[in-house]
Amino acid sequence: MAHFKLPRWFHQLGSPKWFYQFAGLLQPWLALISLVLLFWGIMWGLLYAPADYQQGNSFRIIYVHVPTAILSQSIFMMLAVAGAIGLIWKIKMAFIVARACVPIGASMTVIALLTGAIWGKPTWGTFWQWDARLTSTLVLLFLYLGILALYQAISDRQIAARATAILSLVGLVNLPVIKYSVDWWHTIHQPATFTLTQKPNMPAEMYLPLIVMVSGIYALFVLLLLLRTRNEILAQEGRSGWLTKLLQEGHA
Amino acid sequence: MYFQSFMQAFHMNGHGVYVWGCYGLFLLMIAWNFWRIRKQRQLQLRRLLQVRSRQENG
Amino acid sequence: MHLKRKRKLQQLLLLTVGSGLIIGLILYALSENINLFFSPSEIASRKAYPVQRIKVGGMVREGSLERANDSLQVSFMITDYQHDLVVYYDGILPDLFREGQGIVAQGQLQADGAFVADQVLAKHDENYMPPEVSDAIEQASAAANATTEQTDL
Repeated sequence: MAHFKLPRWFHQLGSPKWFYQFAGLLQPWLALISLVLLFWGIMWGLLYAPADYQQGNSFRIIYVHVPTAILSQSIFMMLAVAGAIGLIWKIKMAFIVARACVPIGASMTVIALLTGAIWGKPTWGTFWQWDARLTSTLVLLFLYLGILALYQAISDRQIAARATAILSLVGLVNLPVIKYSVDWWHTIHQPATFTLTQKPNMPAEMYLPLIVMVSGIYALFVLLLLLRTRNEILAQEGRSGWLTKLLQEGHA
Repeated sequence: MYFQSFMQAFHMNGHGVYVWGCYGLFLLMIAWNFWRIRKQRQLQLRRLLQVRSRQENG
Repeated sequence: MHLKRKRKLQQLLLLTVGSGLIIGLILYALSENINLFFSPSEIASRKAYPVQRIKVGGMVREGSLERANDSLQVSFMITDYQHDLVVYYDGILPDLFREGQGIVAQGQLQADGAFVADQVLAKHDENYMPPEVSDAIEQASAAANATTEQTDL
């Protein structure tokens, strides 16, 4: 631990100027990748994938429900890790990235909850049950909203960044609760279809579109994150010489 | 295509409302994210231009 | 690593692990209340019958579904493969209600040990299949049964 050093690219990412310009280069490619993958995945899931033998066509909701649910959790993970890096190494960019994660993660959680509720009606016969999986996902949304509220309430950027980083680290506990809720307690939500150790309980013609959707939404997330982070850099680095120069040249 | 006709794909044996509704919400979420980002960016750029013109004039 | 950073890292680890521990203990203590429903075994091991509305859940036993001819009244047995529970219900069953599949029922436990439900929800499992595949599996198992029956004769 004593000789632990962060790699060079990490420090480059930590420079707002470098990040701003690098993100600008990546954006068109990410936009293209996510557009192609999401269009492909949506068409495949909606029109070409087979229906389920029990659930019929309502099964198709899986292709938007599962990707948004995965993202709602991995974005929270990223937000907490970025916050921790910011707290330990005092890197401003880490806090900026953490802040950019919050609204994206919150919107993914909202869609995961809504599509889950809509899917619940034709399959379970109810929009909502207070079972452990559903409730812990609702708690995740409240964590996101709490973090947003904390940013709003604290006007000092630095203090706000640290306070929210600590809240997100505490909120990290919720992630294993969401994941294992279906194993630990009796829930109406079914256990996981995909696990690392076992073959998926689903044929390839059903899970391939899901893989396309999940990859597409990850690409979309990175794109949204870069865009939001650039906005945040604009807000915080307004007086920097390099930004003024970019603005004058019309490349901002 | 899994369905025989577009009417069938639209109706989805009575599940059409649920399925199309979910995909609609998903696209709305993406649109909302881009809309927010665009608005924020325009706001920041306008603010930076104001700061610059103030510096040049004053 | 810088000493200050190391201390900060330790503090944050302590914070995360500590809050995890606290929440873990709370969840463990509340475990019974977090369960959405009782299983037939949990009902069977209870000495007193609760008067409040509760939820029970389990698999619908194959061949246990009985429908009344003149009304929507149904009765069926749910099981966790250790204990069974008879459920009476008067209403429309969800589309996914099937023998051999899971359900969650809300209602009241009667003194005779039966359960009268006022709401029945379908649970489904984590397995998904196209209809043609499940048909093929059924046909294959039916064919296998037929051949075993023939050999028995």
